Amino acid sequence: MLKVLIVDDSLIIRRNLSKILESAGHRVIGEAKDGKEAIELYRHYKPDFVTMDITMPEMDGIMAVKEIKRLDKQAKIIMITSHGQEDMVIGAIHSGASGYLLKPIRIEKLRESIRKVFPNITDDTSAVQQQLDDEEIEEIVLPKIAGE
Amino acid sequence: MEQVQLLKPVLSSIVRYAEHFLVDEMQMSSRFDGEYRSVEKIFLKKHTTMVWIGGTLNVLFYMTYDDLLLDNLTHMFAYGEMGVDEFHTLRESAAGEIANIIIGHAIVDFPNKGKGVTLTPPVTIEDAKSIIKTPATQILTASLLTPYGNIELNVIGSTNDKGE
Repeated sequence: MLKVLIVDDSLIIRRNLSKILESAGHRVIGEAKDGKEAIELYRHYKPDFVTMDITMPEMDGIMAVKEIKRLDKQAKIIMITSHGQEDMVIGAIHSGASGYLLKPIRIEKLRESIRKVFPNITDDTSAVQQQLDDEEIEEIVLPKIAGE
Repeated sequence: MEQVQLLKPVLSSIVRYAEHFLVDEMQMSSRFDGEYRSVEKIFLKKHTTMVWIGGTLNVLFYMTYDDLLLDNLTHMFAYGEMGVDEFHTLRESAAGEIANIIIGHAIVDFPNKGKGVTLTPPVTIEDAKSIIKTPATQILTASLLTPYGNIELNVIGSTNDKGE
């Protein structure tokens, strides 16, 4: 499970992201409406992972990424943007983002991006599978051990 | 090139991506009547979203929704689950975000591939009635028809400005 900070000026996008991430077993520890709020919340909560919009009032996502990376070089940030423009996306990656996704958000794409950044983290689908696998192993292995 | 000459390629790109958004993302049938009309006045519906397209362009974009259509889009955009209390707030947010997504994707087909174009965050206005053309402006409009009503897409440019 990851502690996630969602940064987007759109209420409906924050809500959708929160639902998707929580359904995957992650914990949304904060939501910010602009870059300034994002920096404050990052300082306070030290999340494992940040989803960051690009175009926002007050401070845009590219500036916020630069500032967060200055605070924490290890920060993991994925840009979530409606811009198809390459230069915006390249700018975000140069600022230190780990990757980007285009809106509207597709659940599988978001999970795939998280898996790329955190290869050892499982979401709920793989966690459930792992639990099933463990139970099968117990059933097979334990009697054998008991009989020894 | 004068800004007004850029209006049609800008609007046609927006129309194309709006159709794509409705059909592919919202699974809603949509039809463009094929007409780009130069008008003296835009009549606005209850919810209208505005985005300023700046940088190398200088164009105002207005997208105005029929109520039933926006209600349906909001439900689909929010995966259908929401309380009655949050619906109104989410509807305003959806109106802005849909415009943002459409313009954001349309930029790559703008003149000069949209290089140097900037966008403001969307602003949604409620209950505004109309926008009237002044002598130094041109308004170009297009309509998308859906089973739940229309979306009117409008761009406004200045006849005095020169684009890059």
